[in-house]
Amino acid sequence: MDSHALTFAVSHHTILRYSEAVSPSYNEVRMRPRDRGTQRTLTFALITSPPAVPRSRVDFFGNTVHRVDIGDPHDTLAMAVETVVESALPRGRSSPAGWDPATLERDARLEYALASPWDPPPPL
Amino acid sequence: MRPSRAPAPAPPAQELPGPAGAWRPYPGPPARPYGDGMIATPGPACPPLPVGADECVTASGAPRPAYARTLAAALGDAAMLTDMRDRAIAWFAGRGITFGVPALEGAPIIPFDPIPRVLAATEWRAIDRALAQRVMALDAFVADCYGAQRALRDGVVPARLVYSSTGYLRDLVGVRPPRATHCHVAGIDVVRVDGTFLVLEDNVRVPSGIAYALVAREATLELARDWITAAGVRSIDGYASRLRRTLERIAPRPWEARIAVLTPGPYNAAFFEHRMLADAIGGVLVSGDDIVVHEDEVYCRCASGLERVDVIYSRVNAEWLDPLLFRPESLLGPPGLVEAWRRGNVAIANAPGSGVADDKAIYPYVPAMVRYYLGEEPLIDNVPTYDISDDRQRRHVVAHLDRMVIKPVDSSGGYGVTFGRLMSAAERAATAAELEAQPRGWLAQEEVALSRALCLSPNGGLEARAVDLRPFVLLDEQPWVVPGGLTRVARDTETLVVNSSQGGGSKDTWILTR
Repeated sequence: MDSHALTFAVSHHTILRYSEAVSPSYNEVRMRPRDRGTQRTLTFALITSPPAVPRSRVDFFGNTVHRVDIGDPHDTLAMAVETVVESALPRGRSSPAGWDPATLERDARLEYALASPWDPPPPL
Repeated sequence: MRPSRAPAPAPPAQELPGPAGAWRPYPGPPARPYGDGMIATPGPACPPLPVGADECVTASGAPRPAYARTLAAALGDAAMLTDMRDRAIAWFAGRGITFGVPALEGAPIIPFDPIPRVLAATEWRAIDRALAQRVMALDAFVADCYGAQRALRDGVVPARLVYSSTGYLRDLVGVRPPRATHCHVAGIDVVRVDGTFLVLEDNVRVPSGIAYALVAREATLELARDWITAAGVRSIDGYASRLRRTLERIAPRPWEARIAVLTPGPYNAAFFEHRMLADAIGGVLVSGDDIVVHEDEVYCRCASGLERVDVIYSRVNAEWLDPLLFRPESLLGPPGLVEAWRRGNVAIANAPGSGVADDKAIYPYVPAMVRYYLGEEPLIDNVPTYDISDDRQRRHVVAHLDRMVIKPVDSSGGYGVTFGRLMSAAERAATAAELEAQPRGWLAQEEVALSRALCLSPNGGLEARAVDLRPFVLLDEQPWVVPGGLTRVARDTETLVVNSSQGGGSKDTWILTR
């Protein structure tokens, strides 16, 4: 790894409180830092209360998604993420693509230049 | 009195310059005769027929051969037809055969016309082959959208349309469903314009209507068995067993496939159909509450406890299927269902994400898909259609608005469809402004004069009303097209849309064996 890389310890805690007991509960958790370019995740732990055995997959954008399903009734769900990440500034730059869909007609990055139908821009 | 008829679209005043292949202005309808093209002598019992009923009658007023052979006697017997209609309505009501029409109060039964639509064997053969081809191409397109996206890179279908489609679910990119098939059930709307069959719309999300075609046939067999037997009509009984086989083929455990039909519930207009199909294929009818996902396996709450489900025949739009991935407020599908599918533990038909091929803005490119994926010339063409998000095509549409039908791209049931011809000057200006502001939201088609079939009028006479045909295609190892399908009729002689949601009715569709 790059000699200028720094090592970070990151803690992230989420607590969800419900007004009454819920069951079952299905959750998707995107908390694992990306392994990409000059960044590497050295350790990662996701701990929940009530306890669950998370299963993981990688989503369209390359993020790790953990599935946390809890079957027993509970009125509080706590999730703790403890991770150590090594990261450095990226060297060089990727070529700028611009935002004009017309110039991106056959570019794979076109997808990111269009408004999502699920999250349309507010009317002008 | 002759029924009024929409004017045929005139050829465009001027050719637009444009790149080859991308699109072309509509050259005007070709002049071609129907099917076998002969003129038959009407039988002795045949009354004068409305000339506008071009499905059944030639321009000179003689019945077409398929009709002369099968219907002449019945058409002369208005009392029999009226009686058949009345008994059919009672029969439908008794069986709870409904299609909700929110706008029309007290009309829950889909209007049934007793005079069948008749197609000659030669006419049907052409439709059968053309739709099989079209569904193969649509299926290949969906697979491509969630795979390598070759057609987008090669510019066959504009990538911007796919990426901005509500039917394109990018969470599903890279998922390969069982047997690599996506569009197991398709309903393709076919219209006849000046003698030529054209596709008006492709339905591959949750196409509905087959149950109405099946009960229309049951009603005919119940109420006029001698008539249909004498005519020599192909059976459509095989649909349920074919559907069952199509669904078993994609089951993770085909030898003991438990099939669930997932319905949005009794408030859905097509609930009757969901219930009927579940019965017919030996499946269990479930709504979102009835299925649970546990450790990526899908179970159904049954009287005896939880039972594993292998195949879900989903009648719920994909974006409502799983609140974890799509609409979080949805209660129509259980959380975790898509992950179970992704892992191959359950099959879903049609595959989630198939809606990208159902987006009306993508429909103009279906003939290009046929050429690209199958290397064949399309056997059936589109109604001339313009992509509003293409600047030149939009300008053409705005300049010829009086000839156009404007449709919202992600609506169905005929909601929001407007005819340029019927707009005031102010409405045209507003429409043009809307097309400029929201080009991705709209589609324009040339207004075409749908062919008209003979119908029994409310007072027991004969009249000509616009019809289309929705044959259903099952994509098993090979595509199979149900011989016939749902003929939809406009609610009166003036109406130009045939959607059941707009008060349209149905009639039995006879494909003759010879």
